[in-house]
Amino acid sequence: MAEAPSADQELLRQLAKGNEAAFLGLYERYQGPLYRFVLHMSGNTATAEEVTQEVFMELMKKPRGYEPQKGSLAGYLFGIARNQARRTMQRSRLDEPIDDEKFDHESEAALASELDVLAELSNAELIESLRRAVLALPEQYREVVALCDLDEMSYADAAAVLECSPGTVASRLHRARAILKCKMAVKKTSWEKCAK
Amino acid sequence: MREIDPQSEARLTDGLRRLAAESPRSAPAEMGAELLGKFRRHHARRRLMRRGGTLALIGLVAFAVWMWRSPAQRHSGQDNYAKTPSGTTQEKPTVSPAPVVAHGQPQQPKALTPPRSLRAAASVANRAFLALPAYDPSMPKDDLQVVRVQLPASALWKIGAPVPADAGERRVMADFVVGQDGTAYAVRLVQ
Repeated sequence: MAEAPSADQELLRQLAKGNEAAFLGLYERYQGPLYRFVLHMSGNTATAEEVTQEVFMELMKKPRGYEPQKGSLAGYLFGIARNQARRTMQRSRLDEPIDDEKFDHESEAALASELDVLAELSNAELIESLRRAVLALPEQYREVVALCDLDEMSYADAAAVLECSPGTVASRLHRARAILKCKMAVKKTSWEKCAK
Repeated sequence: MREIDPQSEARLTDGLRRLAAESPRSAPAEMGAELLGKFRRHHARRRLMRRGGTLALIGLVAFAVWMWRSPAQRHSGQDNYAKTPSGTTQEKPTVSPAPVVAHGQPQQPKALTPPRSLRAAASVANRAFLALPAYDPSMPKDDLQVVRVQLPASALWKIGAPVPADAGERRVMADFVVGQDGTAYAVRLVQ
């Protein structure tokens, strides 16, 4: 995801001195992943823009807020984005994930195996359905899907961002995928009911 | 819990990949330009504040140095003033020094301004005595002395001192040259 940490640190050092090229270098490197992460988390381009901007403003105003011994710059930036996104979503009350406890493990697995919804949906429908399903995931699952599946981050990098172990990331991702399949299955069932 | 169908898993992965591909790759370009503008303004402000701070610090240090040196210079100035050219120290000027002492006052360096009282005394000392009718040039000078008195202007006028006739009872300070018997031989106005 990111260049060598030392390169990031050098750019950050130059940024603190007011070097525009260093700022642009860091911006070009991280704006895309950060924007996409917040967009996948919030489903809202305005929120994604606002949060991405906030992250770089924070970096601009407090470049010494990043402590290299605590982790990578990417992890630091995603951490800010994550907190900002959480606050923004709480403020706008757009974040209404379904309750994870409502899912019954057996029914979830049964639905996922019995219905092959994904194969039957058109490309546009599939993407829209998946987008909604991802947005409806509880936050901790949405984060791992956004980072690992949609931003193609490694488990180790995602673990650094989320401040947990790679194992936790893997298990959350497994659970998130199961929920996604279940949601898609529920959707298919309701469609069939509507068609009848 | 049953195992999830691998085919279904692959399709979900494929679906997520497509969703990722459909998502915008980066933030809007205008956001970068806006942030760059903010970055420039932020650092311009910081530079300005840093320069202002530096100037303020220099000013503060200069003021502190001036304050520290100023009393020393004042003392040094007073010492210079009190010293005669030969280096002997005299008494500091008093409010009303005797004209005789003022006569012997050495010339001060130009840069130093003597107190007003001393300037006035020097001015008085430069004035000549006016001889009174009782003055006899042949009398011995050693018996004479200068006495400063304050008298009504009318009394001074009566003995021949140069005061206006209409000065009335206004009290005027004058130096008199008197003999041992108290006879006034000469006068000059002090005030």
